[in-house]
Amino acid sequence: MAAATGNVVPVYVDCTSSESFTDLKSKYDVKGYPTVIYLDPEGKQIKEMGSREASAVTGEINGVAKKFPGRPTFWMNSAKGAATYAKAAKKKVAVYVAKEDADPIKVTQTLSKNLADRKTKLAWTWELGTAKALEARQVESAPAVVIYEVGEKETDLKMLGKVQGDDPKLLNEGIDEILKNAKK
Amino acid sequence: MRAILLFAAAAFVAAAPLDHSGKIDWVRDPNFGLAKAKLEGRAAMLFFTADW
Repeated sequence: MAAATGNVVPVYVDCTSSESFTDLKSKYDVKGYPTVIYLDPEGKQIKEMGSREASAVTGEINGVAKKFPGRPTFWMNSAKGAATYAKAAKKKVAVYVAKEDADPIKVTQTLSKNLADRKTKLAWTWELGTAKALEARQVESAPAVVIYEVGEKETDLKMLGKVQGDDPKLLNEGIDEILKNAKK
Repeated sequence: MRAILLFAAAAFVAAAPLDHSGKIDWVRDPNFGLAKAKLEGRAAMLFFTADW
């Protein structure tokens, strides 16, 4: 089943706190947990997961994925996913710590325009800049880009440097400096 | 708008990582997950859960 989820964008919506994601729960009429809903790329509900049996679930996911094959962007789903890719591709990991109210599409378009080949030199992932995330990534404010080297294990990330702010020129210069220093 | 999105997606195409660990590589920020699905032209699978 895990392999099948590589063909869709799997989103974990943690509703442990009743105040979390109220808009999403209301929009998709979620009344209990767990609930799994498939959406088309525009966010329109296709259907709710019917079966809980592994092979049937895999078939469902594959069926939905077949309708929307799409193409992956430079964004990996998570830091772990980015580390897996980075290790295999001998790249560094770049974690984009976003402002809490950031629009991911606008950010992607801006980065697309400005990063040039840095987007493929690095394995990029996105994290929401909550207080917890800022502390974990050791940055004072978002947006920020934190660059890591992957160690022996994929969970072993060594920070090489960080760049804060959203000025494209400073961002690129900061990334280049970090990568240059990493080569020394 | 659609043309811009497609351009953004095409400009950023990279090899997707293959996860052989048997674990699902979840996106934890739904806002980002939905935007990612839109940019990539792929379906999203929303897993609503609560750890009580």
